[in-house]
Amino acid sequence: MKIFRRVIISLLSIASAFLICAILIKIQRNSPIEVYKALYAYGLGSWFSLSSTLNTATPLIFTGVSAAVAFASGVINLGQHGQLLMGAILTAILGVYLNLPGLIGIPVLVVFGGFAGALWAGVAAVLKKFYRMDEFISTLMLNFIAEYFTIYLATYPFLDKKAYVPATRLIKRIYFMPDVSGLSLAFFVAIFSALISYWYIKKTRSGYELRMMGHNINFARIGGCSVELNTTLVLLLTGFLSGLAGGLLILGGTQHRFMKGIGANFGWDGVMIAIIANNSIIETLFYGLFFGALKNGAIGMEFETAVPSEFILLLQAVIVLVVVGARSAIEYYTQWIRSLAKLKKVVSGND
Amino acid sequence: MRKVFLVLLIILTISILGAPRRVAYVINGSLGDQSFYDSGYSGIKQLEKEFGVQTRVIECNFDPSLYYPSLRTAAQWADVIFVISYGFEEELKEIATKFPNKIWVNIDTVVQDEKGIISSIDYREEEGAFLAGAVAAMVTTMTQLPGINPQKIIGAVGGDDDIVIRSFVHGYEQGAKYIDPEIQVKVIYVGTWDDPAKGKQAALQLYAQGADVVFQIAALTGFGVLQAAQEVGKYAIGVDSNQNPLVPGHVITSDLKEVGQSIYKIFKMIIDGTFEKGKVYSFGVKEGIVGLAVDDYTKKILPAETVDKILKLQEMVANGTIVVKPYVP
Repeated sequence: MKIFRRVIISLLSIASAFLICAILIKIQRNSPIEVYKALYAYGLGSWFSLSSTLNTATPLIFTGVSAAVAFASGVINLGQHGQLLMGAILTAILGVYLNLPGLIGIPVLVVFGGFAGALWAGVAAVLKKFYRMDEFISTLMLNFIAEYFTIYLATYPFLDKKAYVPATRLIKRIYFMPDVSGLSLAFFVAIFSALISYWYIKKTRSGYELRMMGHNINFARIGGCSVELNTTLVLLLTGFLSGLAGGLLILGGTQHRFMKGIGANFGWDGVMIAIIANNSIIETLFYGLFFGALKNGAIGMEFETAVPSEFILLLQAVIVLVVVGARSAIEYYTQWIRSLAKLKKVVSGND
Repeated sequence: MRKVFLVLLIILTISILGAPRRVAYVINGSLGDQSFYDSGYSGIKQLEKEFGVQTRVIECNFDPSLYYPSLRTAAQWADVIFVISYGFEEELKEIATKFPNKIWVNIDTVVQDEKGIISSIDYREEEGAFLAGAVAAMVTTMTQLPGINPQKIIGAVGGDDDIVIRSFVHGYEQGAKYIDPEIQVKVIYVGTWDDPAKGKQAALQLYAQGADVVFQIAALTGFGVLQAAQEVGKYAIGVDSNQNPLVPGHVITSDLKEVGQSIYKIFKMIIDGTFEKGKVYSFGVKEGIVGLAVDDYTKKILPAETVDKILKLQEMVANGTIVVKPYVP
């Protein structure tokens, strides 16, 4: 029943966000139907569109799940961006110099990427454990260090002298992630990781502890959970997920090398997706795919209708506001009605 | 007679149907820099007006995740694709091989695929930069101008530390040394193309270190350099588009790289049928695509004989009396 209600709220909110934006498009003297048609055609309409949507969604799913797991456990890990970059740069460098057969090399490189992300989150974990530093601020600041550190590595020590932008050399061709007629295998890894995370949070004892921490940290502590240990665990785990995103971006993306700006906005989009998914992993998966479709369809929409692709950012923002707003409003009013009903019962019982 | 008409009619329909009708301009950065990307955009607008083609500009805003899908979608939609492919040369090759019937023109760098599908427009930017360096050197030695100190230092602010910017700096240094071998050139690479605040900061640093003239080679970031010149009462040199009017009295000249004009030239070749796929078109001072913008704003700052000297230098570069060495990485 609860799941049913959530699905309805999400769908209604998305529909109303599209409606609001249709009015905006109309004011700009464009046809909303044409715009949405193009968005659909280039986001989902053909196998090519669909496969590129799924490829686009892959890093979003990772960072989204990373943020969702962290937030659901009450750990504010905002360092997805930096962790992704560290994963990406390590994978990109090892991909140039490591000598392994492709079949073994690809998983090894991906896992190394994950570890790089976990280590970077581990810095925040150490600061938290020994110096009581809030992970909220430390992960946030570590993003900047990672950003400039990786740019430095790509601009000076590992620069490909033939490249026109600061970038590392192309990784070995044998490490390119295989794809199924355009759909990178990285997507399946993303789905698999999301499902594993779901299972871990929902079905294991340790996952239960994490959820309790998220609900009420004092209850969890008194109930016998080792809050400190769990916080470290969550940071490492979510760092690992973001690191995987970085590693797969190198192996399974289109660049196959680290270059300035490769992290795009994946980290922050992931945080945003986790927030509108209310930290539920399955919903994160859905919104990751949905935002991937929007981002991918935006370019085709611009070609077909000349509406700038920046319009999609507006649409995204409206969706976030409407979904989050509708959810809290509905929660607030149902609670209000319930307590009113209870009050009536109490009052009539006294009569 | 009728047959002749029929043949003419067929030729006419073929040429109309065969003529490209959709032109895409895919850029790695974003418009609004009043410099490099905008120069290309002016050319695209000109195509729209003169040839009645449909055009679209796709700005990737330096987001590598957009490079591949933008180019791939452009390939589906357009007949001719002009692309500034910094950072996605490999993707360009891959997609062009999948769509060999489209016309691919890469701008500012040389990208060559095995089958010879992609053509490139390569600018000899070192020639324009040479002239900019010569002007900077002349100005920094003219202590009678307001704001010029006796130190022989000039500066440059670059976007990224990459091959094209190095080639600019290489030419700039040659030009300065040509005027006076004692001139010292200080360069700061800011590492961004769209942040005027950082450009301004870098320029202020250079001015504080004794530079009188700073050459901006950083698209929108470089706009901050021009602002800094005004703030401290010194001089700057613009890049790619004519930036002299942006901050009048402080931008001496601009090192033009007329991306728009070269786009127009190439498109005209496509219409005429003289365009060749896979060729590298090299444009420099001789072709009138690269060179200095010397206008009334320049003449208000510099005395007439200096302006003449500059124009003479430009002619010498154009006719080959002065050979500017290209940058070799």
